[in-house]
Amino acid sequence: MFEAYVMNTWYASTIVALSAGIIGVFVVLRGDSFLAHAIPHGSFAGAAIAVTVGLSPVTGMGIAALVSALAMHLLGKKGRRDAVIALLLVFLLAGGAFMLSLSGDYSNEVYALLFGQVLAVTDGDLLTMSILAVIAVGLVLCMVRPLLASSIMPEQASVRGVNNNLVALLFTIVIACVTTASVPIVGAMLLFSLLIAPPAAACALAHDPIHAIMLSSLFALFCMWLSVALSIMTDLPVGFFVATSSACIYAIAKVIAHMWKH
Amino acid sequence: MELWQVQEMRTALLVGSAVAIATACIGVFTVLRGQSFAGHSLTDLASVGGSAAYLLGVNQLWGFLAASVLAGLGMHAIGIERIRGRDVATGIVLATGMGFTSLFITLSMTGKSGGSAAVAVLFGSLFAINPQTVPLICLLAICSIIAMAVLWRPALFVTVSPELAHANGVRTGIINAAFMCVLGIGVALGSISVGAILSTALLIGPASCGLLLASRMRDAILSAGIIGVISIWIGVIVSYESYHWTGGKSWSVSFCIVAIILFIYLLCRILRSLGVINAVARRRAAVAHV
Repeated sequence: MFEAYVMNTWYASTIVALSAGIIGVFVVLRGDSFLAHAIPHGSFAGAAIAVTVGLSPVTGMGIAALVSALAMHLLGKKGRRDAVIALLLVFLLAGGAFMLSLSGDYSNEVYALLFGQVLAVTDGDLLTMSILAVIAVGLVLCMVRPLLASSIMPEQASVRGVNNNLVALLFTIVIACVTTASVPIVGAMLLFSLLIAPPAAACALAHDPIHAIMLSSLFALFCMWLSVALSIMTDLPVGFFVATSSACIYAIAKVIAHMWKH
Repeated sequence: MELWQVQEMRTALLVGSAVAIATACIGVFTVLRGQSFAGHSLTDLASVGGSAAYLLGVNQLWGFLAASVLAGLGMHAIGIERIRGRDVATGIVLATGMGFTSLFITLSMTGKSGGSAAVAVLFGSLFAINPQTVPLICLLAICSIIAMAVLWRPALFVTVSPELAHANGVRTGIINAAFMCVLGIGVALGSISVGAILSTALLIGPASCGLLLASRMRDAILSAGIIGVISIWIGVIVSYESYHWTGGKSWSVSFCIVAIILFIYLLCRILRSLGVINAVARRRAAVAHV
């Protein structure tokens, strides 16, 4: 399980888990789950185009995640953005499948990108992923106070001079970075569970944001390591284990939080 | 035209039109209620049933139908009508469902060729529908249209002012549960025609356009139906003709339909922001009962 050729997978999954755990807390606080579900689908289309044209999939994913994030931010205004996000998301997904069908190597490529692949991490990918994760976490740390303020009480934050729109834009870019770093491992369809379930579990248990962030990274790390180990042993897709284990953690956290209350 | 000589084309156009009309009626309510995310989650959960049916060798429509109706009722039980926290609960249920989809697809891939299961369940094709299921699909479409007609007034009332509806003796819980059932049927119909994860487009797209274009609810539903049927027809014909343009490699029919729906939606948005259309269906629906 710890042979040389899977070591990159372990490093990559650690990076993915830590960054997703930290960013996820803000996704949950802001109620941006649908956005976090949609941007990975955009990056899938980008990867598909890159494969067809002959570029590295990670480059294509990064560009597409950024562009689709910006499009969703600009088109959806005034709280009515769920219809726009839904439409863009299915368009990008269909577009990705379409591009891959043109390139000929249809089914296996779709499959790997949608549901994740453990053994696909090269040294170059690892470097790109680390840089993107560091950028995302760094951006969040730089704007942690206005981000928290505008997530929890947007009206008061804007009275105090926080530009809610700018914060939303920057945070959308952060989600795009994390997405690009994580999709090759977890898969476009299931990255969402890592971004939502461990942070939601942490938010149910913790009383202040710092604890929530620490707890959430811990949960995400546990899910990710467990899933990679199970995936290597059973040869089943890693995304399945990520989704089930993180949902279990959420359910357990909810039960514990409920028992504390009574 | 030679188009009509092909059996698959006739089936695709017939099924596509029936499904487009049914999903337009259901979709207008979904958009009005702000449940696009719930509708999308249902499509993803329907894929669990679809992939399980594929694995077992059962007709996929039954899988889609069972999974999405059960999931709809499950979401109603969790209480997605509450605004706060609902998207987290929806999201986690959705993600778990997708996990199982990936498991079932992997299991059905071993022994069979490549990842064709993933493509069949997730991206579907109007051209691959088994002719024997066509009467069933049409029957389900008609049933869901009738159900929407019956639910129409109370559902609109519950949507625009839940408290007032409750005070007037409307059984809000039952209406909401019934709507989630019909939404589940609509999602299953969409899944069988354009694939599980793309059926959101059929559900949300034409309905959003209808609400942007029309000034009355009746017109909104009518125009949503027309836009849905037009997108299906153009999509099917483009996909069919692309075989000749690209030299033997036809474009995926699901992609053509989704792309046309998105194009029409963006067109409506542009027209609206230019002030060419100024529809008030949403506002009228809100004041009709107050």
